[in-house]
Amino acid sequence: MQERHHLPEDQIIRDLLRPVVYTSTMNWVAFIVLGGVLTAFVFAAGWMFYWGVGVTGLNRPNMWGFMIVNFVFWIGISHAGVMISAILRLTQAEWRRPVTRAAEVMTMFSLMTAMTFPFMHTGRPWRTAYFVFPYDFWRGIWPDVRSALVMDPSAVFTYLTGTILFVFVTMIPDFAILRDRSTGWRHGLYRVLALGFRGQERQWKMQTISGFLLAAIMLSIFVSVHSIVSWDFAFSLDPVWHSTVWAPYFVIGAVHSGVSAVVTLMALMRWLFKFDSYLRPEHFDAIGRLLVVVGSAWMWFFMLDVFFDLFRQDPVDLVIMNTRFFAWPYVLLLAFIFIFGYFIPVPIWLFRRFRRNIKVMFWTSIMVNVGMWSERYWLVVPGLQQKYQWSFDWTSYRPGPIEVTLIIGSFALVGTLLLVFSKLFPPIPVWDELEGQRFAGEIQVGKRTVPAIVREF
Amino acid sequence: MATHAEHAHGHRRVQRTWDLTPQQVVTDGLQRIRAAGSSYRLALIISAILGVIGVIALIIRPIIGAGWGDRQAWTYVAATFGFLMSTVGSAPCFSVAMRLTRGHWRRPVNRLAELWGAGLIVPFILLVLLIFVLPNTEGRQTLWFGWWAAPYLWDIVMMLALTICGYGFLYVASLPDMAIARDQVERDRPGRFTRMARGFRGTVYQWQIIDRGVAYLGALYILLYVGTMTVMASELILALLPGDNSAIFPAAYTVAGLESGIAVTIIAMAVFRRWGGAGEYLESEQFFAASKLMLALGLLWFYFHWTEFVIWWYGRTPRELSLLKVLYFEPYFWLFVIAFACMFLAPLFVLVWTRIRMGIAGPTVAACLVVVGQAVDQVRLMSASFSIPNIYEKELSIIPNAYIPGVFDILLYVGLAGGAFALVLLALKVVAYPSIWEITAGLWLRARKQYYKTEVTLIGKPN
Amino acid sequence: MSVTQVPMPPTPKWGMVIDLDRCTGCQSCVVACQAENNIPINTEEAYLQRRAIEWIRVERYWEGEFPNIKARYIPVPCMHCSDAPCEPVCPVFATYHTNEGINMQIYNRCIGTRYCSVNCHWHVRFFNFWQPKWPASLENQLNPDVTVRTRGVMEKCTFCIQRVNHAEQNARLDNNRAVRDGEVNTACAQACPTRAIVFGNMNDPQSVVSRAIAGTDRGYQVLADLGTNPSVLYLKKLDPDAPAQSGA
Repeated sequence: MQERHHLPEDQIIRDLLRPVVYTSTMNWVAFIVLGGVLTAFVFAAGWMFYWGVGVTGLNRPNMWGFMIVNFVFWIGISHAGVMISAILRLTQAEWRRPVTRAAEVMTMFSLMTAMTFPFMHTGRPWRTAYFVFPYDFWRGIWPDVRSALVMDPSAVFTYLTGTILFVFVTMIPDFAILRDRSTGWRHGLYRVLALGFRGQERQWKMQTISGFLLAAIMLSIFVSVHSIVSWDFAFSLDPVWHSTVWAPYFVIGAVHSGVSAVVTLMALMRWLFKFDSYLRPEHFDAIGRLLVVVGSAWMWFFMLDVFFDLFRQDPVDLVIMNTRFFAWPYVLLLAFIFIFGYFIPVPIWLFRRFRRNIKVMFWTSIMVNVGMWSERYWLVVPGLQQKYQWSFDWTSYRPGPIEVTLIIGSFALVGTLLLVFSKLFPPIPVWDELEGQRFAGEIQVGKRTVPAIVREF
Repeated sequence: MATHAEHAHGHRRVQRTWDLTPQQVVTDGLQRIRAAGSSYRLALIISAILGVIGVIALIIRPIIGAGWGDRQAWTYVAATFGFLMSTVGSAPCFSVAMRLTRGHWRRPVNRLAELWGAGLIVPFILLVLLIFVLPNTEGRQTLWFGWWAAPYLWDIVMMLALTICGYGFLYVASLPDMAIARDQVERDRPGRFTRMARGFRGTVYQWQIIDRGVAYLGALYILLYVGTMTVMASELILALLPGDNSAIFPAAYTVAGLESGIAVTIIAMAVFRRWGGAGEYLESEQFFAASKLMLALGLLWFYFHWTEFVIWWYGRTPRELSLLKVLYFEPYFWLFVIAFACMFLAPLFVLVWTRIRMGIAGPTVAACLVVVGQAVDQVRLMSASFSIPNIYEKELSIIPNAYIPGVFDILLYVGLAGGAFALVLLALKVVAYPSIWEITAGLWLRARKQYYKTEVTLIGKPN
Repeated sequence: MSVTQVPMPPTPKWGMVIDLDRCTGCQSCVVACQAENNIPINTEEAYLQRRAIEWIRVERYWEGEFPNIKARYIPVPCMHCSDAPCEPVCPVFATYHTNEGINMQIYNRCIGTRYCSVNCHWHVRFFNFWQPKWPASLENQLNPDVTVRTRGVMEKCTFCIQRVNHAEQNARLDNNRAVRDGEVNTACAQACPTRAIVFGNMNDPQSVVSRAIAGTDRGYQVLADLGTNPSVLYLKKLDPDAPAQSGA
């Protein structure tokens, strides 16, 4: 890997901590733009809170719309964190090192953003808070655990708790590095967070073991979260929603969109924080290869879902599939799903030359998420708008301006949170990068020099 | 700064494989080719006899005894087909997956996984016979939506492509070893290796072709395997169960196949370690990694079946209730329990312990159970789908009784599986094990280095 | 301390039979329900937004091809499914089944996830998108026996539970006897000029509603193949022009 330079350790630390102490002009611009959009988001949320769900475009058969679609989308994005850090950590893939922190933090913030949506979306959010958060057991009002909507917040909050713990554990050595190099209120903050970490053998051991354990436990939560999100839909009797494949299909789609979002984030970080010598083309190469596999698996599940909806030739299913395939706007969304979600990016990723081109990777990853957002809309909304002939009321749905503002605002919310995070904590794990640097070696095979990794066995 | 791997895995002994010299690897690889052992010959004879019995049973029971009009008589032909697809058919996928992860532990295992592909001709022949039992796609559930010559032509084309690809993959991946055998064994008198190795001399260009060929054929094999299993699951099971449009089922069927594909590879590893003189190549590292993947697929087996079950359970329409009964609860309840125990519980409770995965016996026992579970599960699925008298209904109105196999059904099942095994054994006459070129390549990519106070191994990861 | 055990009367199973042969599509059931159950005024805007609330609504559909086309009417109240799909999906038990076969909605518990509406395939669950308002002149017209719902909750047909409760209370006071047939009636059934809608106890074989369904082969349930077993049964329309056919 010719692009890998052996940097001195203090330079690595200095480089990776730069975003924490230095705010570039672009950074300020980003803050202002995102802050503006976020203000609109807060205003729209407040407006809806004050006037009620009536301000949306929802109507009788279409009781769930943009906000639920966006909820599914953000939950999907959140699946990148575990995919990257837990699975790659357990399989000891070397290239994960600079990517993990960004993926985990994005998981955390996108989960938080995702959960605001079903919350805002309910008719009486003040009551929802009261049912999702500590429940008043002394009045004997229990939630109904049969409902997917009880499993859902349970799974998501478990995932959120797990992610926060995981992020925290993997950040402890970095807190210690920051503590030793900061003064003032920052020193106080990092001192508390570092939990007295001094780099002793035992402390490293505990940090590593807890990281591994949390990763392994989170794997099962990771699968359950998006399965249950899919069951929000699939447990109902709505034709085409009531599909057995939805749980794994949602999970793999989530990984597809989440890992693509990580690529977007990596490219942005490389540009914004000048991390050129840490987020190298080899990392984009590896993640691109992973995406080819994930994307193809997602396509397989997508095809299974479509084909087996048509399989029985049941008129009820056929009508909805007809809408999905030929009616406006679903035909456009379907084109987005196919073209942006798979048939442009994946063939591009097959080529090493493109995988190592950061611009190409950035735009293809954006494309995937456009496709995946369309996919969620394509899956969720048509299922409601025409169910059975004897349901009557076949109506389409059009989002209102408030909903659109909320959707755009959710991106600003995640963006702002990520920026704020990078002002307080290093967005690339410093200790992990240092460890990777020590593990890296080279082997001479004939005339070639092959990059190598240290293994203790 | 202390390191990750040290804490996670403790200190491990260096595998003996990586201390061998290339010459030793060549000697070991060519040992069986120079002189086949008596146990090998015995196994070959037994499995060949089983194969003959299977063919006789196939002719007596379905072909002559029942003919193509009686679908139920073909239940066990379908089960044999499904079982072989899930074992010999899926093991090469495991090899491809290992190549994709690019770990060095895979090098002694790849060849074993690919070897199973040598049995692929048996399921192909079975499918050609079996496909004519299916009615045409008019008026029934089908994946083909009125395509010309569907399902007959396209099913056979898919299966043929898979079979050719499997043999091609095995051939290309072992071509360099055939060249070694040609140069070392048949130095004076040209024989089958001279013919099969062609003009492979190890030029840079030829090696590029081998590299690309293995990569592309492998990728193609996985795609074809997933595609074929999806279509077969739909064709032989879903389409014959009225009202069953469970989209997860083809995926569940494929995953079960991949799980038992790893299982047969682990069994082959254990056999070669014990009787095949490959003790220096197959050590705990290989069993550890392979069984970890098998455990993951076992968990997926449960996950995919659970998603199917829970959707039907919540749906509770009469259509779904009758499917739950026919597949899970009523006639084949005990078969499902056995499959569940063997395909999910056994890998879970045996392999969840790192200490057991590090050993040899634990993974082998779990793998044997998985293969048994797969055999039982195929019987369950095929019996359920092949016993439905009227497949043109919208939903299943009568749950048929369990199909009880006769003597010929059992003989057919065991015999044809044995026949496929005989083919795998025959392939060992031309395919070297352990894989000489892959293991020697692994030897090149290792180095020792002083790291502070300890000596560590450097593993090369070429791009 | 001993409590005298008063034998409870047999539990009724409330049900409804709607004879489509009698229905003229006059919408008086809709108006009666509106008045009885404090349903907000459905303005033109509410219809345009597709958010009108009608616990019972009269749907029109077409039968036949163009020259021989016929308009048909079908009043659709909540089906009170015995195995209702809307019930298990509610996270807060705001909807549940009484032991008398009524699918109930508890407004105070409802948080407005609208999942029940998503999983109701008769589209008979209504959401209060806005705070309901009445003109000042109508505020004194509200039925004191029925809760006025706030915005953000689901509401639906209750089989006029206030009338059922009232009748059951009277019957309990009167020697703890069972409710007699005809003592309780829903607003829609009461208002139906052609007596197309009949309400009563399905468990009592002598009740009008039981006899209405027992003596006919025209009975059917809407969307019966979903397996939810609705408590509202329909009697199909007789078509004098259609060739004679046997069976339902």
